[in-house]
Amino acid sequence: MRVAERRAWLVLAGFVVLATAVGAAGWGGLFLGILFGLPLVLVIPGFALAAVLWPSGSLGRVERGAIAIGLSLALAALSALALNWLPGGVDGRRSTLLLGTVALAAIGIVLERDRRHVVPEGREVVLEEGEVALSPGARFRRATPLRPRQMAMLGAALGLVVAAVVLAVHSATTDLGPGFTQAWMVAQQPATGEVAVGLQNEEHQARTYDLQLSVQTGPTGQGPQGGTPPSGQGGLVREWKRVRLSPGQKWTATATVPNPAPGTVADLRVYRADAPTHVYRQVQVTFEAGAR
Amino acid sequence: MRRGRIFPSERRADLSAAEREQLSQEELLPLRDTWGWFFPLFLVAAAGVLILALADERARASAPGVLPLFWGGLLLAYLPMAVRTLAPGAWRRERIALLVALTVVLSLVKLLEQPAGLSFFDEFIHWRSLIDLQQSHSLFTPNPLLPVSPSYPGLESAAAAVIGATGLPVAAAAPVVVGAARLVLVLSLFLFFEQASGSTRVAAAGTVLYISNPRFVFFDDQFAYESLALGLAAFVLYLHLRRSRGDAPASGSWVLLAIPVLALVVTHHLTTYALLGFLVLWVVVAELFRRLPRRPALGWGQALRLARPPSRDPELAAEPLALAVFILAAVVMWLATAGWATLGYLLGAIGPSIQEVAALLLQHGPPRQLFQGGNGQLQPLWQRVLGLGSALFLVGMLPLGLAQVWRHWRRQPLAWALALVALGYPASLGLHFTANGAQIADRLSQLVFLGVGAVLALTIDLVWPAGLLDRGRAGLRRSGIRALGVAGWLSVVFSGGVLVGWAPQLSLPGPYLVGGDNRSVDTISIAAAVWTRQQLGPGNRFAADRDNRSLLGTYGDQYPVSEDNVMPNAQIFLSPTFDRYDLSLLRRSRVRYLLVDRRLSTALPLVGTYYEPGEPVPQPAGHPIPAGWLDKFDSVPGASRIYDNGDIRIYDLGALLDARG
Repeated sequence: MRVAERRAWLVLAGFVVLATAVGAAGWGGLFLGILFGLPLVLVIPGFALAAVLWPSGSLGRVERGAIAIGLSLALAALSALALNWLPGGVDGRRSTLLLGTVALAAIGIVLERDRRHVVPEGREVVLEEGEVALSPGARFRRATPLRPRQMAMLGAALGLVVAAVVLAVHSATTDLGPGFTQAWMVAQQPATGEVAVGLQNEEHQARTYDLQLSVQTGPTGQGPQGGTPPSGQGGLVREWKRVRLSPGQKWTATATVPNPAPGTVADLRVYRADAPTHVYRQVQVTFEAGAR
Repeated sequence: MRRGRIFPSERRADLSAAEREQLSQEELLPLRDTWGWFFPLFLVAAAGVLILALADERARASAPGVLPLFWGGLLLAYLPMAVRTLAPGAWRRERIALLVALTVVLSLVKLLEQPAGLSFFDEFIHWRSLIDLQQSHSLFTPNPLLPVSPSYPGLESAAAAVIGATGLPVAAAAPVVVGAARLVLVLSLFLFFEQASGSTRVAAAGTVLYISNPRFVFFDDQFAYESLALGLAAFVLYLHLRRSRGDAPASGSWVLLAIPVLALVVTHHLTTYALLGFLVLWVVVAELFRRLPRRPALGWGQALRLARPPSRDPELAAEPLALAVFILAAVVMWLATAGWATLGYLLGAIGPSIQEVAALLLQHGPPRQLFQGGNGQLQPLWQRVLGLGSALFLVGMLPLGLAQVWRHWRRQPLAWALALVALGYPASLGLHFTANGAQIADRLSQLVFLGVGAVLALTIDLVWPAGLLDRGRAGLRRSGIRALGVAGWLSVVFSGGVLVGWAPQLSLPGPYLVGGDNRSVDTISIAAAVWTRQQLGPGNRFAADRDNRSLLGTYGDQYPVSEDNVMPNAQIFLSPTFDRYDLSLLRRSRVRYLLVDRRLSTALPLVGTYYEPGEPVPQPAGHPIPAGWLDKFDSVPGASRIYDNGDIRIYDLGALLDARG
C-alpha cells in the first residue's frame, strides 16, 4: 500500500472514531449529526469491509461506491438483529456504535494486512474510471477537475432543487386545510363525578366560545345532535362564558358532576360567540360503574 | 504489458472482449473530459423538479392549470436525461452520472408531494414498526397495522441506525434510507447489465427501462420494506455475477455476498422469493444448456438422457446454484424462527386473486373495468390512452428484443432466464381484469421489468444505431430523428406507467378525499389521532376506518383493530343499527373506543374500501355510507361521545361494555 493511501485510511479511522462519538453521545446537534452520521451508517462500513474482503484493484470506482453503499445498508438492516439478543436491546445509538466498531475493525485489518507492503512515494499512478492497472512506467494525467462552466451549471441545478424542496415544505406546512375546533370531555374520577373538559382552536382566526355543562339523570329526549337541552332530570352544572382562543391555543378545565349515579350523562355544549344558538360542538360522558 | 480497458466511445465499448484485447496502448486515448452532456441536462431536470414543486403548490390551493405543470415538469425531469443515457457516443461516466441524477430527481417527485411527513398507506405500517422498535428496544413487537411487518425488521433497523447516528426525525430519515436503497438498486442494475452484456450502452438502456416501470416513481419510493429489498436484491444479483468473473477472492467475495443476502431475507419476503425464483430459473436453464445436443443427430430427448460432465463453458460458470441454495436455506431458517406469519399472510393476499382469475376464465363473473377507480370514477380518455399505449409499446417491442436474444445471446443461460422473466410482463397484463389481480400485477411489474429492461435494451442499437455517428451530417440528422423517436416512445412508456402504477388523484396533493390513502391524511385526522395519545394514553383498542386506523396506530400510538389482528370493523360501522351482536363482538375483541369519520358519508372511497376488503356494500349500491349509519352511536345508551372536531367523533363504550360485562 502506498504511504498516501495508508495515511488516507488512518484519516478515515479518525473520522469513524469521531463520527461514532458524535452519534453515540448526540453531540453537536443536527448539523454535525448529519455530517458525521450519514457517512458512518451509509458508506464507511461497507467501504471498509469491501476493502478487507475484496482487496484487489480489479474493482472500479463506481463498483466500489455501489458496494460501499449497498453493503453499508445491508449491515444497517442487520444491526438490530445483532443487538436484539444483547443486553440493552435495540437502540439507534447502539447501532451507531456497532457500525462504527465494524468499520474500525475492518480498517484495522486493512492497515495491519498491508503494513509490510508500504510503497514509498513517487510511484503513484492515478487511474481514471474504467481503467485497470498498467505497467509501472505508464502514467496518465490525473482526472480533470470540473470546469467553471460545469461547476456553475451544477451549482445552478442544485440551487433549483433546493428551491423546489423549500417551496414544497413551505407550501405544505402553511396549507392548514379547513379550520376546525376540537372539543372533548373525559371522566377523570368517575366515582366523584370529576370530568376534564377541553377546547382547542384550529381555526385560522381567533374565536370566542361559550360552554355549558349540564347533567341529566334520566332518559334523554334526543341524542347529542339535538339543539335542545336534555329532557331528563338534571340541569346546568357549570358555564364558561367568552372563552377566547387564538389559533392553536388550547383551553382546559375541570368540573364536578354532582351525584354521578349509574346512567348519569354529563353533556357539554360549545357555542361560538358569533352563532350563540347553534350547538357548534357537543360531547358527552355517561357514568357507569367502573367507567373512565 | 497489460492492456488498459477504457471505453472512450460507445463503439469501442460495444466491441467484443477479444476485439478489445487487440487495442494497443497507443490506441488508448489520453484522458479528457468524460462528463459529456451531464451538467446541462441535470440543470434542465432540476428546472423540471422546480416546476413539479409549483404544480404541487397549485394543487394544494386547488388552483387551475395543475396537470399541465405536473406532466410538463415530470417529463422535463425525466426525458432529456433518459434519452441521453442511452444515446450512442455517451461516455460511461456520463451515463452513470445521468442514471444517478435520474434516480435522485424521480425520488424527489413523491417527496415534493408530501414533504411534511409520511403519508402513504404502507408507510404508516413501517413507521409503526419503527416506533415499536424504538420504544421497546426489541424486535418482533406485534404491529396492529400489519401483523407480518415485525417479522421483517430490516427497513426499520436501517432507519433506526440512521436516526441514531444523525438525530434526524423519522420524516427525514425515511427518505434518506429509501433514497440510498434506490441508488444501490440503480447502480447495481447498471453494473449487472454491464457485466452480462459487456456494453455500457445496453446496461444504461436496461436500467432506464427499469426506472420507467409503473411503480418506480411513487410506490417504490415509499418507506416500505419492499423499497429497501429491491435495492438489496439487485445488489445480490450484481455481486454474484461480478464474483463469477474469476478475479474475485473466493472466500472474501462469498462473505461479501452473504451479508446482503441475509439482509434481504430479513427485510422482505416476496422480493426474496422472487430473487430465489429467478436464480432457480437461471440454474434450470443453465442445466438445460449443459445437456444441449453437441451433434445435430442427437435430439433433445437423447441429450437429456445422457450423463454429461459439467461444462467449463464460461457462460455457464456464472450459474447461481450455490447462491440459490444459500438463499433457500436462509429463507427456511427465517420462516422457522421469526417469519412464521408470512405464509398465512401471503396466501391471504394471493388466494383471492387466484379465485378471481379462475372465475374470470370460467366466465363466472364479468372482467373488471380498466382505468376505473374504486369509487367507480373512470379516468379521462387521455389517461386511458396513455396507459394502454404504455403497455402496447412495451409488448410491441418485446418480439424484437427476443429476436436479439436468439440472434446474439442464445448461448447465454442468463439471457434466456431474463427473456423468460420478460415474458411475464404480457402474461401479467391479464391480471388487470380482476380487482385483486390488478394489485398483484402492479407488484409484479417491479420484478418482471428486470427482464423487460434487459431484453428491450438489446434492441437499442437496432433502434438507434451508433454507426450513424460515423456517416457525416446525414448520419447525424438520422441519428437525431432516431433520438426523437426514442424520446417519443419513452414518453409514452414512462407517463403511461406512472398513470397505471399510481392513482392519478394521489399523484398530487389536494383537499381531503374519502378512502384516498395519502389524500385522506390531513390536519383534521391527524389532530384526532394526536388527541387520543395525549388524553387517553397509548395502547387503547380502537375500531375505525382504513385510513384513520393508520393514523391512530402512529400519531396516536393506539392499537387499532382490523380483520388482520382482531376483528373486522365493517360489521360495526356498515349497518344502520348497533345491536347486541355488535356489542358482543366489541366486548370479545376488547375494543373500547370507536372513531367515526363523518366525511365517509360524502363520497365513495377512492381505493374501493372504507374499512377493509370484502366489506358489505352500503345500500343502495353505488352510494356512499348513509350519514345516519355513522351517527347511530349517538343514540346508543351508555355510549359517550368524548371527542368532537366537527368531522371526526370518538366514542367511549367503556360504560356500556362494563355495565353488561
